[in-house]
Amino acid sequence: MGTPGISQPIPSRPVEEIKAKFKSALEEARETERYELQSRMNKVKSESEKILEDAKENVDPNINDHGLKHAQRVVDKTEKVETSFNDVSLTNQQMGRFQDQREKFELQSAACMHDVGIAQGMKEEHAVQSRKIIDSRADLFPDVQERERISGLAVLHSKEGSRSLGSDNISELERKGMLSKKEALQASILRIADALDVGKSRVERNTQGEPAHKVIDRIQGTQNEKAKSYLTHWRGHQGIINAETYNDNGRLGIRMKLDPESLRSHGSSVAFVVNDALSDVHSTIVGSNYTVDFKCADKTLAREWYRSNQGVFGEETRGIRVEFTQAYD
Amino acid sequence: MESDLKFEKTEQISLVDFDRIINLFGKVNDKWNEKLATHLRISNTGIGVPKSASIAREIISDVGNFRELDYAAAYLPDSFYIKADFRNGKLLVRCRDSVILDSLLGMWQETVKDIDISRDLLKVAISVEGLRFIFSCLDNEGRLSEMPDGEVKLERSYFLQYMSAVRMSNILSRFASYLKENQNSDGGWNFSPDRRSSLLSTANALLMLISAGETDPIPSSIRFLISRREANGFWNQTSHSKAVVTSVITLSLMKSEKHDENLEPNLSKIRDILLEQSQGIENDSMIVDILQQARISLDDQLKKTLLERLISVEIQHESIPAVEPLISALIILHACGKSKLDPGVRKIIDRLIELRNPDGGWPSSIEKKTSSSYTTVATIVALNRMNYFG
Repeated sequence: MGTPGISQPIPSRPVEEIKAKFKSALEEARETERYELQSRMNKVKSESEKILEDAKENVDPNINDHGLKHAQRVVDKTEKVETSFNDVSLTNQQMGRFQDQREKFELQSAACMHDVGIAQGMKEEHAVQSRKIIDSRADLFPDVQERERISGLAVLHSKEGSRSLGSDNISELERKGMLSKKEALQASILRIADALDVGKSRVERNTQGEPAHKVIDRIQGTQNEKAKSYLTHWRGHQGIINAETYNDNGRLGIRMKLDPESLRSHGSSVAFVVNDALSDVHSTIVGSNYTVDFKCADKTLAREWYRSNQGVFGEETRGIRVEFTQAYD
Repeated sequence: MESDLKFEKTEQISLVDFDRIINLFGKVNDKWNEKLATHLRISNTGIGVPKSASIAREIISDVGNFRELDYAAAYLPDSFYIKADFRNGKLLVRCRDSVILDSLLGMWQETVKDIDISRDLLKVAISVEGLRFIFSCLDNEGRLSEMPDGEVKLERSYFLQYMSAVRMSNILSRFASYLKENQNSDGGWNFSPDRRSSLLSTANALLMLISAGETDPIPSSIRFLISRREANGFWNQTSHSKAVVTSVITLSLMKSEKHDENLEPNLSKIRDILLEQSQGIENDSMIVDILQQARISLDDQLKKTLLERLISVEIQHESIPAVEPLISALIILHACGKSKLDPGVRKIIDRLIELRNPDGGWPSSIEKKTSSSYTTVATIVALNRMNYFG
């Protein structure tokens, strides 16, 4: 006689079949989530485009792009920096895993909206204003906690924003328990992505869409001292063709392709802009644990430029590994 | 790669030195114009340093605001590098030889002598540099010490409960988490070497936890306080005014919303005690603040008495050097309806500003000179109450 109440054994399904069904259900759920997040991301992009488009007149036409194109490039760079962090195990060291889809969505949303604060004028720090705008957009981020995570990242993207917490250094904020490991990681990715939008593309046009040569001609043609102050900033950015992260044998690398012509004519202005970008990197969880590769069609010139501007490259770049490679394209 | 600029000197600066810095850069520019590169970084944007401070101000308001100002730098390749870093309050001068170094430092000293501080930037400087100093007193465990690497002195921390009102809620939350993790088993707090819980420390900790929105350790701390209440309804702690100890505890229990109805009469009695006799200006200011928080009105007679006492101790006189009596006077004057437009209030504010240390903090006493985070918070709270930043 069998066990009371059980007349017949339950037919056992092959384990493989159950596993496959489970996998397929999981894949389906992921696909649904991916679709949902993609559609929300599209909405976030179009809304931030509207805000930045409406706000572009708030930005001085003599300064570089702080608008829509910059935001789009930062979104792209955020993805690339995240990939580099994954490749060199920084993400894993920090979180013990990779970011999931929702975390990526939050980071991308923050990247997209990091500068929307300019729409409010300059009464407060622009990053703090960006937070306020994001906090007011329950239509884009209905979940309060998600909204606060995204707006928190927008504040931390800039040193000035995180200074409102007490320090502009993300590592220090994490060490003192003001940020979680995940927040520190995401804020670092966003800050580096923003800092690496430092190249020529940043000064191809101003925020209003006016081409660089016209802006420079206008500034040069004026006797206005204020306008003239902006000139070095255009020159400085023009010295960097592009900047990107890479995997330097398991260590984070930052490659900056430099324009030899600019190094000859405005070397120190380029050095200041490069140093600012590197000091932004230094203020993240990366610290000085990275390599910077200055790539240039004239490698000897780049080396000499770096040597003669040692005064500019200060404490914040001390300890990093510096390399020079030849550009052939 | 080693720099050739081997000779260097650092001076402490504040945001209020902004006009002086621009003036210094103007002089440097006039002397070494040809190859000099300058850089002013604000709100993630780097531009050249203009020669005039008014133009620099215009640029800053176009690009961001003074809270977003990072640094100004000038570089003459192979000769010198000057960096006025407003983030850490340091003016770094690095040169190839001592002759240039002396010349640049001479220019700076001359500028300081000739040009006044930027008074319009005081408000931003006080809040930004004050926050920076207070953050430097927060350690990795979340302990907010009185000074960097110093001790936690909860008995002196009454005004920390107001940190959220002066843009420091994150530091308050962090310290509240630390307090939660370091509560004594009897429900109280104290960080003195013997760690025996004290009444005033516990009441101050409770006020901070409530301000930070924490609730978990509150029942045990309430039990600790209530169990030590004397038969007359008051609390007593050696070496502290009974009126202050009782009023701080009463307020903390009232704010925890778990009090019995016998608490309010305490504050009425304390108001009568205050009317009769001063407990010392610092204690008086705390009691006044507590009465206000508990919505117990200060009647005209009490206000008149408090103001007369301030005059009798000549608190508004320049010879009073200590910071804490000045803070207390501001709290009392505010409670008595005085505003920043009042000449006496102005004098106190001016004197407090004179006593600010270069690190952005205020010393607890004139003898010690070193800044105290608790005194700094209290000063900023008192200034904020007088609508100084508004």
